[in-house]
Amino acid sequence: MIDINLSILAAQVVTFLIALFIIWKISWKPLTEMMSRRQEKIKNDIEAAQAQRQSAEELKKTYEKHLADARVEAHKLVALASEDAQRERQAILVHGRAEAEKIVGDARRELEQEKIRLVGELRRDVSMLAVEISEKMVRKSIDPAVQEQAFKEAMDSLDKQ
Amino acid sequence: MSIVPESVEFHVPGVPPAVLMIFITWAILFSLSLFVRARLAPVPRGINVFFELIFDFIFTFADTAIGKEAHKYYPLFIGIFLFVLTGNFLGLVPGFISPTANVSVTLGLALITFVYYHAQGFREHGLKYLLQFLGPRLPWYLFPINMLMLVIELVSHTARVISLSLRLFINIFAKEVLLGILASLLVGFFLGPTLIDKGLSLTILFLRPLIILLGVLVSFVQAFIFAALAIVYVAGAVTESH
Repeated sequence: MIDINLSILAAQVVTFLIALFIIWKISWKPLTEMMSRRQEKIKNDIEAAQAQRQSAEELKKTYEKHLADARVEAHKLVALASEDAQRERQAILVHGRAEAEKIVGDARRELEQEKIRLVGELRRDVSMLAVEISEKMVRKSIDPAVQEQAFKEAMDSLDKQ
Repeated sequence: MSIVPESVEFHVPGVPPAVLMIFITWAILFSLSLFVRARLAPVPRGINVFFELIFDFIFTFADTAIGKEAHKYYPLFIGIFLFVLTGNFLGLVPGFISPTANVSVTLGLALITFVYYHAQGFREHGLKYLLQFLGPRLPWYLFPINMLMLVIELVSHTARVISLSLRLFINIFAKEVLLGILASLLVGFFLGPTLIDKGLSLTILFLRPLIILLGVLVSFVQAFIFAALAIVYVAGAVTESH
C-alpha cells in the first residue's frame, strides 16, 4: 500500500521551491542569459553576414555591369580604331600611290628633257660632222651661201627623221 | 524510506531517508551549478556543455509548446527536469536511494506543477481561465453539456496530479526494488549452502550492470516525461482558450 507521508511531502515542496529559487538566481539564470546572449549574437552575426553577402552580391553585380560596359566600350574603341586604321591605311596608300606617280612622272619628265637635250646635242654633232665631211668633199668649191643651204637642208632632213 | 536496503545505506538519525536524499540531490545540483557558474564563458567547455545541452533541450521543447512567452516558465521546467534526473541517477549509486522512489516526493512535485500551471493560467487569463473548464462555448440550452465538461475537466486535472506522481514513483521504485533485490541476492554467494547456489548468485554480477544501464535510460526518460508533461500543462493553461 502506498503511504503518503505529509511531512516528507511538505519537506519536498518547501525544499524544492527554496532550492530552485536560490539555484536559479545564482547559477541557472546567468547560464540561461549567457545562452540567450550567445544565441542573439549568433543571430546578429548571421544577419550581418547575410547583409554583407547581399551587399557583396550587389557590388559584384555593379562591377559586372561596369565590366560589361567597359567591354562594350572597348569593343567600340577597337572598332573605331580599326576604322581609323583602315582610313589611315587607305590615305597612306592613296598618298603613296600619288607620290609614286609623281616620282615616276618626274622621272619621265627628266628622261624626256634628257632625251631632248641628248637629241639636240646629237643633232648638233651630226650636223657638224656632216658639214665637216661635206667640206672635206667639196673643199673650197662650194659657195658659202650654198654651204649654208646645204647645212639647213641637212638639219631639216635630220628633224624629219 | 526503506525499500529494499542495499548493503550500505545512508542514514541520519531524525531525518527520513527520502528527505536526506532530497538534500543530497540538491547538494549535488548546487555543487555542479556553482562549478558551471564559475566556468561561464561565451564558448562553453567541459561540464558547461553538458548543462547547456540539457537547458537547450528543455527550453526548445518549452518554446515549441508554449511559444515566445515560454522563457517566463523556464525555472520550473529546468528545475523539475534536473531534480528528477539527478534524483533518479542518485538511486543508481550503491548506498543511495532515489528520492523519486518515494511517492510523497513525487506527489510534492506533481502538486507544485498543478498549482503552478493553474496559477499561471489565472495570471494569464484572469477569471476567464475558469471558462476553459466549461469546454467550448455552446448555446444556452446546451448548458448541461458544459456542466458535464466541467466535471470531466475537474476529474482530468485531478488525475494529472495522480498520474504525474504515480508514473514517476512506480518506475523509479521498480528500478530501486530490482537493484536492491539483485544486490541482496549476492549475499547468497556467502550464505549459499551448495556450490550451485554460490555459482548462481554470481550471475547477479553480470545482471546488475545491465539493470543499471536500464536504470539510466528509465531515469532519463522519466525525468523528461515529467518535465514534458509540466510544459504541456503550462502550455494548455496559458495559451489554450476553448
